[in-house]
Amino acid sequence: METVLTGQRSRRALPSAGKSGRPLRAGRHLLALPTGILLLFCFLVPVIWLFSIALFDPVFSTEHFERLYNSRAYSTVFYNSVSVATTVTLICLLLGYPFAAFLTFLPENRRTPWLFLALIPMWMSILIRSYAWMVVLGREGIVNDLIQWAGLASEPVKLLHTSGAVYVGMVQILAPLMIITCFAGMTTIDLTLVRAARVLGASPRRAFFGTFFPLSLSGVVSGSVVVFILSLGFFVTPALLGGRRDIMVANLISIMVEHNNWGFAATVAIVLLALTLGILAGFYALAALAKRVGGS
Amino acid sequence: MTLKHLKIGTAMVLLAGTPLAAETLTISQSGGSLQEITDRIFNVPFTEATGIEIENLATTDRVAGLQAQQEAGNVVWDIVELSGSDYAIGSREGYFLPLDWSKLDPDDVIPDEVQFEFAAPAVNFAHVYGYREDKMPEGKIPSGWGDFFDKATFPGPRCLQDGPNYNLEVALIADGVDPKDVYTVLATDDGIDRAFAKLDEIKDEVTVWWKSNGQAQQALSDGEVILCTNANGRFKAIHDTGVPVQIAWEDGISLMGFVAATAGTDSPDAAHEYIKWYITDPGRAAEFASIISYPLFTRGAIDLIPEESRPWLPTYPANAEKMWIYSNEFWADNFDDLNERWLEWKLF
Repeated sequence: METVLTGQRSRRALPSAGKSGRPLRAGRHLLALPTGILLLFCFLVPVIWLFSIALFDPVFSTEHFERLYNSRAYSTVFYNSVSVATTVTLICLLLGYPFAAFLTFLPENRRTPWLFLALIPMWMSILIRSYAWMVVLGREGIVNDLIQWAGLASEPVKLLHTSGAVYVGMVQILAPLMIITCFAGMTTIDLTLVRAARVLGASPRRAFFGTFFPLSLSGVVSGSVVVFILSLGFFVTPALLGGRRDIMVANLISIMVEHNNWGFAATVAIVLLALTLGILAGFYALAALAKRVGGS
Repeated sequence: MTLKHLKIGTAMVLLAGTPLAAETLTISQSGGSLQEITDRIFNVPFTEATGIEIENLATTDRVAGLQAQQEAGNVVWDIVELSGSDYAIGSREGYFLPLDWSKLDPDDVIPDEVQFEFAAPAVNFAHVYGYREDKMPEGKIPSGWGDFFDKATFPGPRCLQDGPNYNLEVALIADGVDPKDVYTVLATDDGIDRAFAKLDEIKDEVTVWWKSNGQAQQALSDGEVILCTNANGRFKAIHDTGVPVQIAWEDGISLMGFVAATAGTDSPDAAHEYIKWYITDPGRAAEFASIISYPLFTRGAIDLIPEESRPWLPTYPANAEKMWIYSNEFWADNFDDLNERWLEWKLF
């Protein structure tokens, strides 16, 4: 706790301009204006609209919400989406965190090529990458050819149109985001702390987990939140790579919209939004709790 | 939802404008690359021949646009091109002008069964299945939906569209229901149970449930599946890349696009003239079909299409006689409930 406090105090003392210690006091709200307007008209207003479509179709009724609540199929789809999003986030974290840490410990001038490698996949459209996975994982695809050539199987192995294929496709798309977000958080860590711990006799592992790891957690939280939210809304990849049961909420919404059932589509969208916000709130509460426990 | 309202909003702005001169027809067609072909073959020559200008307002959400215009009492579009479900909804809501078929088709080149009260038939396509010739058992060729479901004779992975429509119908046909009775049977709970029970037989053989035509096209051409449903033009596209694919036309589902005049249009006569121009000339119909492989219904057009392309078309006489017509009305009424059942069937 004490270190945190002194840290804040010293940061406040830093800017010498302005009496209050905060620069740009008068105009700083203006900085949020362009995005604020955009969010108001492109997010807040549509969300309110969405509510009205879900509840008034054409007169007030909770029919859509009841239908959603009473159906086993819809709740399973919601459960699927949350479970896929959680799994994908965890895999991205397991792959992305070590790589981001590796980048951080590299001298700055050697980071660029590695960062470049990690980000290359983001230059291709999601649709193209999903189709490419179909070619790679298919019955007559590259992986199956290799497996059969090596004599590991005599018949094509079912890789495509499975939940596994959905995870592979989504992780490939989302892992770069996890890497950059974790890395961005890690670059703010003062690496001399790790060295200090070593000098004071800590083992490499102790030094890492005692200094670097706790300080990197804020990046981990942001990265996980970004990947989790994006995963929840995934649509194309599960549709193309998944099997019979790999149905996401976004697929559900798209079917409803295609068949002119706006009221129910809006209801599903609202419930997804509420669910996302709920999970986020829980996640942040947990993160705050962990920080407090860790601090004391 | 935002999109829908944005579009209605856009339509509202358009409604505020001054009414167009009588000598201009405002048409809502597909837009995109297909529009260039439509303009070149139909629209530009129409203006040259009749002096009636054509203004095109492309949109994909026709029903929302029609609704907004009808409610505002100011109809901007004179002519609209429609999908099957657009037509089913719009004709029910009374958005279209009743057509005078004696004016539209004096030479009787359009088959009677597609002379609808509120719309003329535009493109004709088929929901059929195709098979990989190279992966069929020696000397066997699948024909009809029974063979699609016959996993003993034709073993191998299959691909169906993801949704209750088409699939429930073909399951019933595979189970012995006559195509002309399909919707009567499907209107009963027993009929629905029977269709799902038939689908149970190949539930595990269907490895791909396609969401887009392109996905199904790729699955068949990659060898991911050996039997696969799609719109007929997709199989021709696969065949043209050198993959040995053929269509099983038996009991194929005939589908169509529609062209209609709007209720309340200022130019009902010019609208009739345009629709007549669009659907009754075999030469233009053939030129159009040779480019996109979804022909119009115009009699005689098929004879003007290159011979090797004809067997791929749903209007080819040997194919046309095997087809039955999809009911947009049935699905407009029943999609929501059957889709919920479909989801449950897939999940559990």
